[in-house]
Amino acid sequence: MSGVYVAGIGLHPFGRFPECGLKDLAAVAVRAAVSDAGISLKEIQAAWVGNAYAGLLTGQESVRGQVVLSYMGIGGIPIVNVENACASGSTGVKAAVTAIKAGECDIALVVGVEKMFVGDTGRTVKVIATSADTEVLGGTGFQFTAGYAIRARQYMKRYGATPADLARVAFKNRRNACLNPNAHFRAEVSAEDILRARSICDPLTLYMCSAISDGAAAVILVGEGVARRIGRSRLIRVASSQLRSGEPGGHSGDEQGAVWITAQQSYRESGLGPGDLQLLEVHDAAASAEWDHLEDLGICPRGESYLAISRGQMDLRGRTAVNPSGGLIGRGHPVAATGIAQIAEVVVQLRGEAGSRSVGDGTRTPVAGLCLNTGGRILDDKAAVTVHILTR
Amino acid sequence: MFGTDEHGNAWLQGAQCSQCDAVLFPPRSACPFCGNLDTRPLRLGRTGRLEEVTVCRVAPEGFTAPYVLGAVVLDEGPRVYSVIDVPPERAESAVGQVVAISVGPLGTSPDGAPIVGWKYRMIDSQ
Repeated sequence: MSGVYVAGIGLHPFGRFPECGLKDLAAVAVRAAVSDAGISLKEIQAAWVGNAYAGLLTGQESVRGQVVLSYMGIGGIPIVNVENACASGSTGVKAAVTAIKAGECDIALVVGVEKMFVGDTGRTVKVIATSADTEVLGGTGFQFTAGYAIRARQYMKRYGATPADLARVAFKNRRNACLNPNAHFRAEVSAEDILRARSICDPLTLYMCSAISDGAAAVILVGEGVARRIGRSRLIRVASSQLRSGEPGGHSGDEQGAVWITAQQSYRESGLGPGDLQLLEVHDAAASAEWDHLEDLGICPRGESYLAISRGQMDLRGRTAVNPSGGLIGRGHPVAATGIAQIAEVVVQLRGEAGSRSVGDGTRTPVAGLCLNTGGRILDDKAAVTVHILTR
Repeated sequence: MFGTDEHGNAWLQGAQCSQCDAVLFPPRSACPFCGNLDTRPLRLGRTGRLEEVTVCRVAPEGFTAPYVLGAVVLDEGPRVYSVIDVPPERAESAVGQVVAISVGPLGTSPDGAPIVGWKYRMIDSQ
């Protein structure tokens, strides 16, 4: 058997932390993950460190992982730096899972860390735009939010969704974030406030877009042998870990798109289907992205996800809870930390440790959850997509 | 990625597969559809149809909000994102219209130099 399990998770809260650098953020998350797993730092055999923008934002272009982990007293093991835009962290998880399955190591650390507040929001926005082909899109006036807005308008015209339906996505995720102590935004906003907020790219308002955040998230992954030693009670199994890049002709909302293809692969690997999942964490970089994601993941038929969300079926107590952590809109989006924070949320829920934001009717702990993390843009599709399915 | 000919006509620099004839923008050195390793340069994108628009109320460095950004399906097939040279209040009515490319200043970079690039305008509005 070559099972892989999540033994520990840890986060640095997401938000604005002007006094914290990469090292401070990562140290809090790693420390929490190691304690949660009940292992010692010295037992970690290999580490993957995800980060997207430190080179341009802080000047630490190279050996970021070694710099961050040496501050934590971690060295003398393989340390790999991972960059896949907003999917950097979960790409690191995929790499660690592969290494454990190959027998290269039994205890791996994956941390995603991002320092996005550097005192100049304009510069941060410009740096985010480098997660696309800069020769093609640089100097064209393109911005990621505009890409989401154009896609949202096409969806709304085709299926009849309204701005109020868009606001409902953001309302749900902001409301869930109020219950998450690690979330960036913990004040509830009304659907009316969301609709009336200033427009960023029509029809997306400020509250319908993910924000800039600082933060870090870490997981400890273990192989079958260590799992037996630790005991299975709190371990969460990685039933699938898949990574794909976009292909020519593919885009969100389409069976040629990377999200659809990655999800299909993940369902095959895990032997599970959309109907087996009680919760999902998906990449709501804009509220409208959640519509496409739920359809590309097969959770809802084409053109029906907005109805399911607006009818409350994706609320915490709904049939399938989507973004119980608050998602990118509520939890915040320190990009390389996001994918690992999604996994941490599903782990907390499957362990039955989510407290007031536990999904479902409160009588049964969920048994399976899925994380969808996307990064960057290539042609019309995502540059990187990861899907992880976790089971109890 | 773009240019103008001796008559001042603008174009985008694309490529075409020498085996399956797929039209590629941005240009590629090999064909992503059939895997053929040879492509030839192809100028394209003089006209297309405006598929969808959004009015951007925030602007990247060097650009001025509000401005209209759109997805244009080129006559040759590829889909490109571009500034659309139309006032924000007329953006919605431009959807579905035929648009033509022009090359010129789109904004001004912080050092004062013009940001030169391509944009599309409605073909009957000079």
